[in-house]
Amino acid sequence: MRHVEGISIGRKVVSLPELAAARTALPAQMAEQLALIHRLPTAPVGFLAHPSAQGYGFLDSMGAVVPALEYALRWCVRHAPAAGRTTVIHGDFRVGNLLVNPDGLAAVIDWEFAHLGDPHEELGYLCMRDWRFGVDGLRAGGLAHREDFLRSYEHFSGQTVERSAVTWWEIVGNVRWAVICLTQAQRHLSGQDRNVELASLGRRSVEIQAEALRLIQQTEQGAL
Amino acid sequence: MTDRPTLAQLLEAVQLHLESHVIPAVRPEPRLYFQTLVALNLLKIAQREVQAGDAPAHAEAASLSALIGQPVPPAELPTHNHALAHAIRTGDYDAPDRWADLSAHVGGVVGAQLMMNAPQLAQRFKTEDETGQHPH
Repeated sequence: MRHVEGISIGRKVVSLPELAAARTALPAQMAEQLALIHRLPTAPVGFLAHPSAQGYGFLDSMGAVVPALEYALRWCVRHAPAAGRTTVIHGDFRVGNLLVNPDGLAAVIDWEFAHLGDPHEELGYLCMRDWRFGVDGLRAGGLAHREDFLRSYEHFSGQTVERSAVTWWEIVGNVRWAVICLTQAQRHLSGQDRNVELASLGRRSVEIQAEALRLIQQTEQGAL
Repeated sequence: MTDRPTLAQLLEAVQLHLESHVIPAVRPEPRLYFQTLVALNLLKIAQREVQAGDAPAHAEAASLSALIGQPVPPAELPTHNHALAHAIRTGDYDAPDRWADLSAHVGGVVGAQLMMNAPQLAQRFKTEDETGQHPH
């Protein structure tokens, strides 16, 4: 372990003028790091979870009735891509969990969601609107257009990326995030941990549900 | 009923207080500052809901009624939504025409909720649709 300095605050990384050069360098650096992570041997970390879609369990455990999320979960179940490779997945790879200095990427941090899974999951997750920190037009983390990023990842990894699988995982990422927001609100509602931030996440869930529905409907119209 | 001020006006008064006095005062404390901004945003949501009154529930009930082909009194929305959720999960809406109707229904309901909870994001979606410039 060593000390590394950098900025991790997402909104700053995508907007600070002094990080303009870093933003130019970051997409390729991120693609290279992801390719390296996805090449790590899985045997020594076989203890890592291999999660399945847990959305229904979370909804049912809090008695939440949300037809929009049922619709989105049903869509995900019916359109799941064929299973890809199984690799180590960082699990929360996005601006906000990277230390960035003026040269670009200094370190990848926050590994607590690491698990085994399909690398497409990681690529789709990075494209979620919330991880663009306001730079919505640049789908890959608010830093690059998705196609450019995926080509860069293919270059570093030597693997072919299924675009439709990346979109599917972006949708799954949003559905999961929308469900998690409801579970956070539930902590407030149940009295377990009463505070305004947790309460607000219940309403925040609507934004993510709307994004998930949008992506599903655009995908069905062949727009993505 | 007490209407000087009305419920909406009460909420507005608390917002005014937060914006003009509390938020500037807590600015040096990042955590408290953020939480107060969150609280202010929730008041704005509450105010929009108060102003909308029963209209969103009536609209959702009408849309659901059209989808399931039976009357849905707004007061019975929770029961009917429970049944809808179960029907979606068990595949009752998988057929293409049913799925299209369901898409329109949930899209409309969530779109209305978005206007209530995050009008800025609703506006951004609208702009993306109108310009055809979707994130890519």
